[in-house]
Parts: sequence; C-alpha cells; structure tokens
Amino acid sequence: MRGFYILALLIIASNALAATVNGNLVIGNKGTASFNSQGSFDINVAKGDAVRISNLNSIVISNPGSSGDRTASDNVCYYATTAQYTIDMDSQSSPTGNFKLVNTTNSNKTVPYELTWDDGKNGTADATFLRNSDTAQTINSNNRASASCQATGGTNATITVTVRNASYNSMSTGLYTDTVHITVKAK
Amino acid sequence: MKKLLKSLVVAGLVASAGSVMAATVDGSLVTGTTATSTGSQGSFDINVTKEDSVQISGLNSIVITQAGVATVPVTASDSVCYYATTNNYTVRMDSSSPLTEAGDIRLASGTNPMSYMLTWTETTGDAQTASWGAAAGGSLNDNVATASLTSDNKTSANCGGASNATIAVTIPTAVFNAAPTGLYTDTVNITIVGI
Repeated sequence: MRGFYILALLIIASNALAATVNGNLVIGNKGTASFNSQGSFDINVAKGDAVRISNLNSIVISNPGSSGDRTASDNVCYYATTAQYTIDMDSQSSPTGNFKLVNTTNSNKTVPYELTWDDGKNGTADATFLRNSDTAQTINSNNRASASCQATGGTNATITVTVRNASYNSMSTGLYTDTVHITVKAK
Repeated sequence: MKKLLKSLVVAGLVASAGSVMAATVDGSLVTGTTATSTGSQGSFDINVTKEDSVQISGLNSIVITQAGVATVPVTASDSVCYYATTNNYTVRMDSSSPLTEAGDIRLASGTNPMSYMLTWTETTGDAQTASWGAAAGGSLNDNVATASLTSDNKTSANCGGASNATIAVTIPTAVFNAAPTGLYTDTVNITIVGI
C-alpha cells in the first residue's frame, strides 16, 4: 500500500514539476555503483508570434504629368511569423468617409485617394483601402523569417497611393497631405 | 554663446525636419500575444503637389488658296485646344515675318508684304476674343499679350480630343487685291501663360 502512494506522488511530480528535481545527498563509498546523485531540470523555449511593419517612407506625387491617374509608391517590409497576417490602413485626415488629402492652406479643399497593398506574389494588389471603415484584409505571410526583410533587400511589399484623373483635374493648385496609420497583425 | 548658437541651430533643424517628416514612423517588432491583438503599427505621410499647368495644342498650318480678286476679306482658321489650370491666362502672338512691324503684321513674299489680322476666339465658355495686327483691323500689336482671359478649360490638357478655340487669319479685301501674285508666308509663335 505504501508503495502505491509513492508511485502516485512520482506521477504527479512528473506532470506538474516535470523533471526539475535536485539530486539526493548520497553518502557511500566511491567506486560503488550507487555512489551518485541524480537530479533533473527543465528547459522551456516558447517561441511566440512576431509581427512588424517597417521601412515606411513618405509617399510623394511631385511630377504628376497631364493625364491619367496619378500614383506613387513606397516599398516597405512586413514580417509575420504566423501563416497569415492582417493589414489595415487608416487616414488621419478622414476618420469618416473616403480617404482624402487636404490642402495645406485651405482645409476646405480636398481630393479623394486610394491605397493599395501588394506583396508582389500574385501580380495584383492584395488589398485596397478607400476609407477607415474598410475591413482589415487577411493575407498569407511570405516572410516569416526576417524582421528586416534581409532576404529581399529590405522590402517585400508596396504601398501605392492613387489619385484618380478626374479628381486630380478638379484640384486647385497647392500642396495636399495626409498621414496614414498602418497596422499589421499576426493571425 | 557658441554653445547656445549650436543649440539653436540643432533646434531649428529638428523643427524643420519635424514639419516635413512628421508622422512617418516604422512599427515596432511586436511579439507574443500582442502580435495578434495589437500588431505592429506604423505611419507614413502622403504629399501631393499640384502645380499650375498650361498648354496650347492642336496647331496646324493655316492655308489660304485664293485665286483672282476677292470680294470679301480672305480668311481661314484653325481649331486648337488651350488648357490652363489657373483661373486666367493670356495669349501672345509673335510673327516671324521680316516685314512685320509692331502694329502691322505682314505675310511676306520676298519683299512684297501682305498685312493681315490674327484672331483668337474661344469657342467654349465665355467665348472671349482678341486680335492682333492693327493695320488689318486688329487691336493688339505684334508680340503683345492679351489682357487676362478667363480659363474655361482647367481639366483636360487635350480638350478630350476636341478643340475650344480658333486662330483665324484675315486679310482685308483691299490688301489682298492690291498684292502681287505669289506665295505669302509667315510663322507665328503663340504663347499661352497661366495667370
């Protein structure tokens, strides 16, 4: 009966405390098989999910030409160790309604624009954002290894700003700006 | 004093950089459960500068073939497209003929002159007009810009493939009939300025 209790205790210890056990003090004669003290300890490595968006730069449309949609892009680096990630972009100047750039000298003058996210893997934009209320898009992660996109020269995706031709033509002259907040989440 | 000056310079640079770069910030590396809940957040600026644009296009040679005696002023025109994103613009016509004088714009056939008038007429919007060559009925001297005209085309550099103005050449009947036969030519440089 006593042996049964000891066995039960050992099983409980192995589950909860796993194998972190100090060795016993052993007194005896050296050279004998029983003259040793044995303990055990655990090693736990927990690798959590990681995510990052980096290499962001200002996007400037400075030489727009005379026709067609006006676009400009920035190459950035995303990193998500999970199989998928979500991406979302929100405009600072337009919390409601469509994204808009605002004239720096007259806030009543605005022009709508669009944002796209493209990781370059399928030949088309992976996500398009027109307003803050647009839902974050889920995309397969193609970079689960490098937080700085070392294998691809520091970037692996492109953010593009588009001002449609009709919108551009209706603009008064001047400088129009906005700040965009981008969020990448591991999924 | 030197240290103070240096501080001021640094402060100025920071302020300057701040106004331009403002909110372009990379996201942090986020790990653990926060990676799925909050994620990595960055921000970037978008700047679009629209500058004034102006263009004259659709220009063609204006050819007049008139035989014998004219009974009415001899005229021909070309339909063109002007584009000015500014509220106003001016037009200036500059004759290259060696026989042209300030108030008398002349075609030339060798040393034989033929005075003529150039006319600019908008065919859309407020249909403003201007003319050059006082000797042939115009208002402006050669190479003089019009007064401010209202731009009726701020949106399409090529007028959508159409036209919105005409340039006309008019030779008074008496001038034409008095001139010896021959080929009379001129090259006119036209300048549109957005204002």
